Amino acid sequence: MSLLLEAFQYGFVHRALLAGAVIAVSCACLGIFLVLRKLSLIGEGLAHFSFATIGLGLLLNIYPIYVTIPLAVLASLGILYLSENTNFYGDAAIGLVSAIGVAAGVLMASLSGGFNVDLFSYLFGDILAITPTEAVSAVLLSVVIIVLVLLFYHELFAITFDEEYARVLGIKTRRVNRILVMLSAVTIVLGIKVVGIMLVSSLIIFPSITALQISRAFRTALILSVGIALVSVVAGILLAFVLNVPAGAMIVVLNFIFFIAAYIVRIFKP
Amino acid sequence: MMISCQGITVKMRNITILDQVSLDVKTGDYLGIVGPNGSGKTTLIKTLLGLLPRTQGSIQIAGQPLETFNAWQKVGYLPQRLYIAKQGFPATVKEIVGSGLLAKPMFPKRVHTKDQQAIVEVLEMLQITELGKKMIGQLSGGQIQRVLLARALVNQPELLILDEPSVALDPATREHFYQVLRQYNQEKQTTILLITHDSHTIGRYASTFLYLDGKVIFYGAFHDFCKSEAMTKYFGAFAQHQICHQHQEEHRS
Repeated sequence: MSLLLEAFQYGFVHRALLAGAVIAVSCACLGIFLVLRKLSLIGEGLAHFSFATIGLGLLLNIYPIYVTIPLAVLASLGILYLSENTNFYGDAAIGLVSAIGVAAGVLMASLSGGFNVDLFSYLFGDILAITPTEAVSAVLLSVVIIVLVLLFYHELFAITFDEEYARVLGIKTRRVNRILVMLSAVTIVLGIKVVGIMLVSSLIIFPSITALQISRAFRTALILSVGIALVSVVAGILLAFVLNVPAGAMIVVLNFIFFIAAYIVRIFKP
Repeated sequence: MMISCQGITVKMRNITILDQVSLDVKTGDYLGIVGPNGSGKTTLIKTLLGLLPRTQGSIQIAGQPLETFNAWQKVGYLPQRLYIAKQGFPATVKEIVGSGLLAKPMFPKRVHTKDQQAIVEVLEMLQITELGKKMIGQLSGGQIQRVLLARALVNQPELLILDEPSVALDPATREHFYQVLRQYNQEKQTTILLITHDSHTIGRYASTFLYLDGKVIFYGAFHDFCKSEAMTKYFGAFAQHQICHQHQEEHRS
């Protein structure tokens, strides 16, 4: 308990909690739409793609997130283009981008003399090491993402349920789809700082599928998903501090526990 | 004129699905569209709604070219597919019906509290009030069909396009379903385009008739259909007589 109270005395814990919380909320807000549209693996694909762009940043000695955000946004539009305009299925397009990302990442790591500490911190996340500048950027970008999701909530809902009918309603589905994947790209890059490339898709998937086990309305599912994401990230960071274990892994384990609990509730719910 | 289309041709992968289709559907018409499988019925209505691109031809809805038409709140559409109600999709019937109100041009799109009354009323009219709080993914095919009709009607549309709407309905529900459509057509002058394989339904309710088989085989009023030798060839004299008889009986009553 004293360790828990001690945690709140440190500035780096405050930063981690604040940035982690807003990133978790933006992941959950987008996750519900991505999961229901069977696009949740876009997180995995873009995270793997980011492996290459982070490697590029480290190779060129540029702050990796600055390189990764624009390139991940372009990759997300590429995935959308491939799934909309070619005979590819969405998951095949994600698989392609993912494979290219990992391959390019390994090549760049090799060119820069092998995997170093920096690259490892991006692979597994290190939210407790977030700098004040990174925290401010994460908060600002996350707020923009959350506001945009709220503004387009009804369009996203209509498209998620029935894209064809959404077009009959006069909704510009292509535009909204582009916004969705671009926001996903930015969110995933931010999430890499929290749980790392290997686990970032869990921030998108876990809170949503947990909420979907017990929700009986769309709005409830979204709110619940945000709540689960917040609790797991905040509790995960604090437990990681107390137990001296990696925060990213702790967050994912907590998410898994919440999912199992929700699944059991669903089974026994009348 | 509610819909005017001239010389619509639709080709997909160099196969002609629709060839030079022209229609003038007046406001208040109840147009029954029939034709064999693969005759282009669904392609026609999807093209009219701008969901499929056309190779040539022009389309106007309510006097406006389709390309610039933006009064989508005047249009209700009930698609053929039932599988869109994905298993376990976490939305209530009220949320789904409410999404029909998003056609109103506004930003950001909102379903206002006052719109809740329109949702309640349309559910009442279709006798599915008790489904309001249920999840769409847990409903039967017939219930989903009625919920999607409610979504199409919640805006009080001036044009209603229905693609095989009654396939999953039991006879009593089907009868009520078509009575609601007729009420809209007669009392509110709603223009209806109805695709169905059930030519008896067309005979009972429609005022005009379109027989499609890649191109327009017949398009006109019922009394012309009854005299059409071309239609005798497609339907056979007995079936044609039955359809006409039902139409006359229904409209006499």
